[in-house]
This record gives sequence, C-alpha cells and structure tokens, in this order.
Amino acid sequence: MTDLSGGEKQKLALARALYKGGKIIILDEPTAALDPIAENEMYLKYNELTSDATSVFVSHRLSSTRFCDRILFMENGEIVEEGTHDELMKLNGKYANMFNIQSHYYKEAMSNEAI
Amino acid sequence: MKRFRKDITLIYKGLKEIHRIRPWIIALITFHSIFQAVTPFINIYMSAVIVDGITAGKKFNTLIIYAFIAVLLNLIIALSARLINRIINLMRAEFEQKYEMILSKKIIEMDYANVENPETHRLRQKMDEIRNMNSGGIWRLFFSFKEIIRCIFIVAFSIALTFSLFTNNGSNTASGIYSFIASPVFAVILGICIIANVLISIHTNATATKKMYIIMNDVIPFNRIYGYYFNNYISTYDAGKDIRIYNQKDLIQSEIIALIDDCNTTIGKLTKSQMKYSSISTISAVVISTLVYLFVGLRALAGLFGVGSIVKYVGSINEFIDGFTGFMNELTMLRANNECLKLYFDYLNIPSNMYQGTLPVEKRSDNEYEIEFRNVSFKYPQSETYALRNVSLKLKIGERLAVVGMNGSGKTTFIKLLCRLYDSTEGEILLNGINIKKYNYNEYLSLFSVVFQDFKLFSFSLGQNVAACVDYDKERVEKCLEEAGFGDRYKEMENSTETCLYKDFDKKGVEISGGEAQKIVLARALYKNAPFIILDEPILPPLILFLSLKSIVNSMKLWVTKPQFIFRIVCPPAGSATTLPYSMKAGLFSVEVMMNF
Repeated sequence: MTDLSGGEKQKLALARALYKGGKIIILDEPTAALDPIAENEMYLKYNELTSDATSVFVSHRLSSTRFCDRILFMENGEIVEEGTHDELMKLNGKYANMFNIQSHYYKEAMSNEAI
Repeated sequence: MKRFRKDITLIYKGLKEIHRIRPWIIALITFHSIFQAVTPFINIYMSAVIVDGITAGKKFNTLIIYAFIAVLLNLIIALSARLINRIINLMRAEFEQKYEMILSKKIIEMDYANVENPETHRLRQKMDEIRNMNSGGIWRLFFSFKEIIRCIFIVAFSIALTFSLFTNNGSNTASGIYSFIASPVFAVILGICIIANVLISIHTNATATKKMYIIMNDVIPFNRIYGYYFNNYISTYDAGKDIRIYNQKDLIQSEIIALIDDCNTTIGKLTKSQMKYSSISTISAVVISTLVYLFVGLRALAGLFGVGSIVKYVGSINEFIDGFTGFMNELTMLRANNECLKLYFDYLNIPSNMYQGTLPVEKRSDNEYEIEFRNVSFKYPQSETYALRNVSLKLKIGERLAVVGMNGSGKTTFIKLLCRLYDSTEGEILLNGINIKKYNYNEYLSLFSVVFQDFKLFSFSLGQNVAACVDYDKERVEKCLEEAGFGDRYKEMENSTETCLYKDFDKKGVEISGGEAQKIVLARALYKNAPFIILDEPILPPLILFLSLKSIVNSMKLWVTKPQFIFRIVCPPAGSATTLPYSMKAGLFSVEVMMNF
C-alpha cells in the first residue's frame, strides 16, 4: 500500500465526486495542492468534466474564474459583486482590484516598491 | 537449555524495566501475591484444627475460639490484600502514563530519518495492537509475574502442610492391605501419578498456547482495519461530511460485516482447539483428584492420622496441583510473550546518531549568518534515486531567496537538509564556514523558523499554538498574528489568545479554515524570531500572501534586523512542461531554480 501525495489525493477526491454523477458538483478549493501544470490541465478539462451538471467552484485563486459562466464575489458573509469576468472587470470594484493585484506579481514590470 | 536462559534473561530485563519506570510496584505485587497464596491455607489449616478438636472432644468454647481465629485471620489477610491492591492499581495507572511518555520521548530524540521511516511506525503500531488484543508485551509481565509468585508460594505452603503425609509411614503393626497402604511404596506411586498428571497438563497447555498465538496473529489485521474505521475515520467528526454526501455508510457497513465474518471463522478455529486441550486438562485433573482422595482416605482408615488431617492433606494436595500447573502455565505464557516484549526494547534501541555535535552557535546580534551547500547530493534511506544532486549555493546575508521548481524537483528535501533533519549523502553543508554536524543540534535548529506544507496545529489555545509553548507572551503573540494577516479574525475571538482551536477538548473551541490555519502557522514562524524564515509552498491566497509578505518584510525592520528569507513559491507555467522554469521577475527576490534531473 502506498501513501498518496497531496496533489494525488485531490485528484482522487475529484474523481470520486465525478463518479457519483450528481447533477450539482461542488468543488471547494480543488486545486490547492496541485502544481500549476496540473491545475491548468484541470481548468482545461473542467468544462468537459462538468458539461451535464451545474457546478459551483469555490476558490480564492482568480485564475479559476476565467472559465466560469457566473462569478459571485463574497465578503463578510454577503455576496457583494456578481457577473461574468468581463462585467466585473468593467465594474472596477473589489473583484477587479483583487484580480489586478494577483496578476500584477506575475507580470514583467514591477516596481521595486517594497523596501 | 540455552533458549530457556535467554528467555529468563529477557523476562528479568522486562521486570527491571517495569521497576525503573514505576519503582515499588513489583515489590507490592509480590506482597499481594503472597497474601493471596496464604488465603486458602488459612481455612485448610484451621478446619483441620477444628475437626481434630471435635474428635479430641475439646470444649465448645475452645472450638469457638478456633473458629474466631480463622475468621479473623481471613479478615486481616483479605483487607491487607485489598489495600495493597488499591495501591497497585494506582501505580499501574501511573505506569501507563509514564510508559506512553517514554515512547513519545523516543520519537522526539531519534534521528529524523527514522521518524520518516514507515518501519518505525509499524513497530509502534504492532506494540499497540498486541497490547489491545491480549495485553501482550510488557503488560503481560504484570499479570504473569503476579501469578507466578502466587503459585510459587502456594506450592511452598502446600508442601509444608503435606510433608507429613508421605513421611508418616505406619508401624509394622498394620496388617494385610493396610500394611501396603501404610508403606512408602504407596506414597511413591501416588507421587508419580501426581507428577504425570502435572506433566500432561503442562504439555497440553503449551501446545494450546502455541496454537493460540498463531491464530491470534491472524486476528491482528482484523483489528487494524476495524480500528482504522472506528478510531481513525468515524471518530474524527469531520469525516461526517464525506460519509453523508457519498453514502459511505453502506460501504463501511459491508466492510465491517465481511471483517466480522472472517474473524468468526478464525476465532472458531481457536475455540475448537482450546476445547480439545482444556478437556484433556480437566479429565486428568479429575482423575488425579480421585486418586488423591483415595490415598488419603485409605491412609486415614489405616489409622495413620486423624480425620482433621484428611481435610488438611486433601486441601493441600489440590492446592499443590493447582499451584504447580499454574506456575508452569504462566511460565509458558511469559516465554511465548517474549517475542512481543522484545518489540519494546527494539523500539527504544532505534539509534540517534546524528546528535553528537557540541559547538554552540554564536549568537550574532548582527544576524550575520552564511550557510553554504557544497556539492550536496542526497538520497532518502529507502530510495534508489537521488533526490538532490550536486547542489552548491550560498545563502547570502540579507538575501531573500525564492526556490522554485515542479513537484518532486527536490525543494522540500533541500529544506530538510538545510534544517539538518537529514544529513547529506555526499558533500557538506556549512554554517559560517563550519560543517553543521559539528554544532550542537538544538542550537542549530534554533536558527530556523519553518512553515512546512503539512503543518499541524494543536487543539490547544491560540496563544500556545503561536508560541509553540505552554507559556506565552501575549503581546508578542498578538503582534505576530497581526503581521500574519490574522488580525481581523483575531478581533472576533472572545477569549483572544486563550481561544481553544478545534472542538476536541473545549466545547467552545473554534473551527479554523485552511487559510486561517496558514496564517496562524505563519505567526508561529514569526514568533520564534529566528534568523532564517522558510516558507514551503504556503498556500495563502496570492493577494494576502504578497500583502503580508510586504508587511512582514517591512515590519521585520521594526523588531528583527534583516532576517534571511527563503521563500518558495509556485510559479505559473511557461507553456510546455519540458521547458525549464522560469525567472521570477518580482524584484523582491533573487531566485534559485531547482530542477529534477
């Protein structure tokens, strides 16, 4: 018997959820332990995997919102913003702010502002 | 014979160990056993005295006094035995705690390589399983030692009381059959019969015990699986979510039922074999009892002794048989148990070879530490492949280093070598020019604050979790929590730093989400205030991560001068999986890249 790594366990849990074949699939931070390549694969396959079900994807990684039909932004127990990615970016509210900060650090130019 | 000596030596070693862990318990058990051994003989002896007194026509009052003495003696012995037993039980509870502590301390002291070795845990698990199943291992010694001492004294007392039966041979005035009965030959014949009976008893018992241990071994995996479901899975209340959503009830139920069926088959076999052997034992015991009664009765008829002595002799001989058989049986059990007892000593003997260094780490107020890896290669003890190869780098002062790479590229291994949880297979690691093996281990460890991926929080108070200590500096805890981004959540906690995490011990304990746990662990790393802070793939939301990093870096200026910062992050993919990563253009860090060869 072997022990599974964190990423392997997450994939197994996902398989279990899909196997049950429920009409509503809920995923709570399903990519937390995956490396970027595996995470990317999952996003690419996601639509395919959940095509005949409604799925709810809970995450703090905004990279995951790009492929969703509708985004609910929650804060302090309330839904404060709602819409597609483009709509929310146009809104320029909290979602847009968070998205900008997250992507900021992956881009080329970054000012040496910290220290 | 050699085997016998080895067995006795190990048993003695076990008893000494019990004595070391809880002094006096062995002595008290001995006293208790002596009291227990004496008990039946009080009545045997006094009954004989009273009956002889009746036959001799003693006064009524005298007989009453005899009876009174008998009752009184019983009372005194029983009360004393009870009292001692209470003390023994208390000590036994103490022993259990100390025993667990010894095993736990051992895990902390052993070389880390052995902690991550699954064999170590299998050994520990086996010890627990054996204990649960039939109190095997060191626990068996308590019971068996008690029994053996009791049996030894019973044999001694019974011989003392019975001696005269065999030596008191009649004079030549007896005639006919009575002369044979009175002769020593008759006594010898009985003696032989008794010993034959005892030997049969011992033999059947040894065979039965051996069979029992074989079958019991088959039961161990059942207990393990059963224990997993009940102790490890169902009893953790957060398994409830999965059990409901995935209808695991049926799965678990059918597993357990299959398990119980297998178990029944195995135990059925055990019961059959035990039935066979205990019937043989019982039959031989009945046969010998009959012989004894015949012998004693005939000798009494032959006029060799009075009626009272019949009670005395019959009682004592029966006690002798019980005692001798009991002694031999317990000895067999103890010897069979040695295999389990050995596990305990094997566990304690797991080596701790890494901690021989003695140099103190110089406490530099300027935090000028430099660590160098020189051609370090490493493979795990159970592995064929190298986890790290030819890693050479210097951790420069004041530097913030990011170590990036895919899963399995050796990042966590690198950190483990840096903290000296493992020693490198080739090459060396130096702190300020000196090989880290030369330093005192605890001193070296004090240089590092690490947040590993698989961190654990305890069900203790928030303050104790952050300080990793029973006593904590509340202000300092609060500061660290604030720096780690936990400030808002902290304000919601009624009991502030005394808030208990999780609900295992405190009904009012709070549940902690994954992200919150990360922040607490980060606060813990900050609290230690070590020169090197290492974060191994902290799964903080990128936003919070970078924000608190900035504030950490900023606030470091406030209360710790320039810590070394090794920061490991997961990078976005550069496209295809075969390209080598990735330059991280964040200006905060210089980057070292780990690659899988």
